[in-house]
Amino acid sequence: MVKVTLKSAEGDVFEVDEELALESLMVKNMIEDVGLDSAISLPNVSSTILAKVIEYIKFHMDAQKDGSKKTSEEIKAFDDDFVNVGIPTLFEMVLASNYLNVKSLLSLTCNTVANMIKTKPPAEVKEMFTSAKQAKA
Amino acid sequence: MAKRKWDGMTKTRRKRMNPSIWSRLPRDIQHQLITHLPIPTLCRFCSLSKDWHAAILQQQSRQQWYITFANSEVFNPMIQNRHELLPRLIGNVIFTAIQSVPCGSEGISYIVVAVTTSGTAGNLRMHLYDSRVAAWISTTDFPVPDNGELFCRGNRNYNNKNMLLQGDHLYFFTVSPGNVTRLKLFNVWNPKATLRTVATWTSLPLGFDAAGYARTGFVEKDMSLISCGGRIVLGILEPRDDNRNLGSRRFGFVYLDKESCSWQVMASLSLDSVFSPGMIKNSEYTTMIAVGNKNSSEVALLFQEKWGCILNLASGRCCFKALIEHWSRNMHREENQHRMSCCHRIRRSLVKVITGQGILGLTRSAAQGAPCTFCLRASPPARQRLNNQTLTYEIAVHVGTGSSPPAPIDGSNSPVNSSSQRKVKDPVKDLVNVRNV
Repeated sequence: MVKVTLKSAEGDVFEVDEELALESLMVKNMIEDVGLDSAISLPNVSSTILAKVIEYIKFHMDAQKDGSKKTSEEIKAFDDDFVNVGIPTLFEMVLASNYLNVKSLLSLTCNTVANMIKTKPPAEVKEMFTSAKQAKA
Repeated sequence: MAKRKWDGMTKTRRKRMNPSIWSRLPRDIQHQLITHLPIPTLCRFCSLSKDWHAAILQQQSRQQWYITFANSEVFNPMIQNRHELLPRLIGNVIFTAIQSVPCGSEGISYIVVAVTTSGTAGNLRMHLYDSRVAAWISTTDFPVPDNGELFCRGNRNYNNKNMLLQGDHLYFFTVSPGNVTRLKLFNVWNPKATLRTVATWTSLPLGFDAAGYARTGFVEKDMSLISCGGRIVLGILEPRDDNRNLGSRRFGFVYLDKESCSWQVMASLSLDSVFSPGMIKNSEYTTMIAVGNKNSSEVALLFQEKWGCILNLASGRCCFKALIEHWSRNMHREENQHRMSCCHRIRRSLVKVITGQGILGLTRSAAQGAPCTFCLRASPPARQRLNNQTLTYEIAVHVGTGSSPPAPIDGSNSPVNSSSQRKVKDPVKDLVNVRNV
């Protein structure tokens, strides 16, 4: 099995299967461009977040494989648990999944944020998404 | 910023978010986020910022959202002043169905199918309208159903309720003696196509007793043929039963299983589980209208032409945050002139508005004499609201395991009900007899 080396922002090295790395369209493009020899550096993704993203992709790849005994409830439970994290982590995961271009994870994290804000009053959401700079302007 | 009424509508746990974090979210991801919000929320958030407003509108118009109509009228409440009157057709319009078509950046376009009777010969003609050319593009003969079969038509205002245009196919019901109801299928793009029967049933789905309909003669009225998440879905309200209180009346959804050609249960709930008891007054004519969209598992329901909710058939949640408005055309004329003029023109017609994710609104104009409009809407709240009744709810309803298990459609416990016993008060209004002359 061909391995791909991913390098996080802190410089930590993650060695993953090529198949897994290709789930990220961004990494896929990088591999096509620079090949497998050098480590792929991901300066926008911290080690903690990269580890989480890898965990997510791994779980879902295993779940999709033939002979997988995972039921849809288990997958759902995993997803729920996966996004049950603090706001800063969730925020980083949204950014990372967007940067790495992992569609399913982006959808999952965005959905989580959407669920958080959907019952909030507009004023609160406005405050949330307006930066100090924009507010002054 | 003045606090809106909306703000008080939910009593959920509020998690305080750190505003500085989310404000760093790039704009394209914010737009991504918007696609995950349900329609009622989108409508509340429309006034959040210019950027969000634009993104929300774009999202809504990018998707299919549609409208059906009666009497050859098309109304689009998202673009409030856009109201189209289709060129008049010769003959009596029996029914119409509408479908939006993907239309690139141009936004909205749709196809309308109308079936008319022409002249005295009793022949049926089918007309196709394409909004891109703004004309009726073709007229062909429409096959007459077998002898004895009548079109189900709802009533005049809802003459699209029992019809569905999906893809190339027009679905509709017929009823024949013995209360045999058939779901028919017709390919509207093939002039040589014949009518095909997709499903046949004699007793109501979900084990409902059709005897209740017999009294009022509204057999068809409480069925809505809709498209929901790619399935053909039938929304149905349990017939009236004088011995039971209204709140325990059930309504449900069944989808057509294409292999077995039978209706399979999706959801069954009681009125009380959705509305507070007593809210819907008992009446001879409790009605339910459902509208759906093929891209969405959400359906909008309108009861008694007043009370509405949006039900998600996939999750079973009644994510109802739509409001019901009632306003009079004579009031607030100045504030809302353009809308009022729309109301005036759509008088006596029902419009169904179907958005990409669900339903945007249902408008029913006034009862005779008193021009007013009932509207279940989830439209942008930026405009001044004119309602004198505003009700909002948030309810969770579990679906699928009704208290009494629904009977199979072709169940042997067929209720005593034959069309010969059924007394139709106004047959012309409810059914169009298309027996061949």
